Amino acid sequence: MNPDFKNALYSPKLVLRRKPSREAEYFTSTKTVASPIIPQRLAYKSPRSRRAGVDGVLPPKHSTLIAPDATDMLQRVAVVLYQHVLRCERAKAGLPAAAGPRKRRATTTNIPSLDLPPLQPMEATGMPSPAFGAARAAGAQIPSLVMAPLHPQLTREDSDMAGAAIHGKSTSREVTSSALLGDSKDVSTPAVLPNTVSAAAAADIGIARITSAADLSKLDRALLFGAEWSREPVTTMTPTAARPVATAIRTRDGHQIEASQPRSMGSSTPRLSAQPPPEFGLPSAPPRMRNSMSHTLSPATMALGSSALPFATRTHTGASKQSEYGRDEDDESHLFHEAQFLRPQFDLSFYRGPIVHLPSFYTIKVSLLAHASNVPPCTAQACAFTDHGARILAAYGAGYFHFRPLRVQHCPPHV
Amino acid sequence: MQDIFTFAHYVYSTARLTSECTIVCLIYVERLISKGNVLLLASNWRPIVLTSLLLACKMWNDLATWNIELAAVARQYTQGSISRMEQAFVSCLRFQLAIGASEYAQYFFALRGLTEQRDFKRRFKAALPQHIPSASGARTPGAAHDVAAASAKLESDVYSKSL
Repeated sequence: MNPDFKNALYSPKLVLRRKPSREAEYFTSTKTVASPIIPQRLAYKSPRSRRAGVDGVLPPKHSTLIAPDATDMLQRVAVVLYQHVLRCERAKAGLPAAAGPRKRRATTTNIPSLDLPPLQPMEATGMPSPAFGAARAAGAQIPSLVMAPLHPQLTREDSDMAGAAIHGKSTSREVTSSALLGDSKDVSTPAVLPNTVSAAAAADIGIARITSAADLSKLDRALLFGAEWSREPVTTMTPTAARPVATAIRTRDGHQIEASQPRSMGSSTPRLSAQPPPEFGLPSAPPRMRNSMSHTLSPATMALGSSALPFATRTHTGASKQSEYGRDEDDESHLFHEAQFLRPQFDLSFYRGPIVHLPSFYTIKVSLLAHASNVPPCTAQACAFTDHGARILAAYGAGYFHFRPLRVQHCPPHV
Repeated sequence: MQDIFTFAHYVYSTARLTSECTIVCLIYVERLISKGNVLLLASNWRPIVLTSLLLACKMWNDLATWNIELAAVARQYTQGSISRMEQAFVSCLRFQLAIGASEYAQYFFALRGLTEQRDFKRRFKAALPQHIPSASGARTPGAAHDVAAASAKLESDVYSKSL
């Protein structure tokens, strides 16, 4: 082997001669900059002036390291991210950094500043404004141009496209990876897209018909972040407590769960169209018992487990399956899970919590029945069902449902 | 800085993230800047922070937030958009999402060390908004408060009758 090549591999001088990366010009990680460092030479302290032992100071389970104060940490993270944005904007504009790259400093009792820039408007610094607060300020006055001031490269055409997206027209402007990377050269995916409206999102919000400039202003403000960003534009109905609420669980084919075929016993996956198991196979219920149980499975029945589901675990003769299969089949803890999530007869009243796990082929519809009957069905894409009036459409097909009124949609009379 | 804090706080409180996610979010953002050579600009900090919060929640929590939930929280992004942002994010990070305890502690103490700066608290309080929008809407004035109260009432009605 060439000795020079060997030296080139292992020489620390050559390693140190590497070309400095571009990131060093404008970015240094926070842990490098702001981590407290113990000086290499500690000043001598007499035993009387030394600190007490750590064991007597720190409560182990109440440390903020384990459970940080979220708001406080968010404030600090916001400060750091704001600095990164400033530096990256300067790097993009080709301007030198205001205070140079951050350097690591040893932590002492008198810790120097982290070069936080003074809180002044960006226009005073001589660089194009990142428009942190300009969007909200401009949007309050000109709602149709809410999207525009976020970036100086936005034109009126972009504003019109964003407006068209709000109105639910077929404008396919969605956030893509190039938008994430801030690539503003691509016209189809400009860098301002994170602040604009995608077509699908506009279709969701576009269910509420836009009839006036005030509605458009509401939607615009709803699509921006800020204090006004709430469910105000889409939550337009407030049902009274007297209105009955009905639930219906359907399969993906639209059949009622109660009317579908029970799955074959012993299977871990639901088979809605499965045939009844053969006589010599896994134990099945007597016909009388199965008919009586299929529609009356209650939460208490679920919780009781095997004693309430005799046909699922016992043979006709009542013998345990342990002798037949050589393992302890009386351990039916898994049936509790299956009875909750996989049996087609399961009852939603079992759940009191806000989160329900369901297989992906279930569709849950929670609709408010008592409503004005003169409202024709809404044909918007987000309204997958054809009942009238206000509705709460939780989710579909994801197997994970929040039973919170995420979208309370008011369907106006359809034209 | 106000907008960053407001946005992050809104996502944090609405999506019910854990407090550690804030630190992990910062770690991911700085990894994206350093390893992915992505500039954190005024035009793209929202999706970057949103995606990093999502990834932090997914990596740190056992019961993580789903994309569909985040799409409900941040309505201007569809579920597909969030998925694509997540895909681009992890691709830029080269799927290096693991965070060691030492790195987490380094960032934690580094953030704690920010307090030691001169006039940090005064300058930060001066930059903070007066009213932070919360998920409960308890401090939200005006019509937004009514809407939040109506939504809470509707939610309680639905829980009590259907579930």
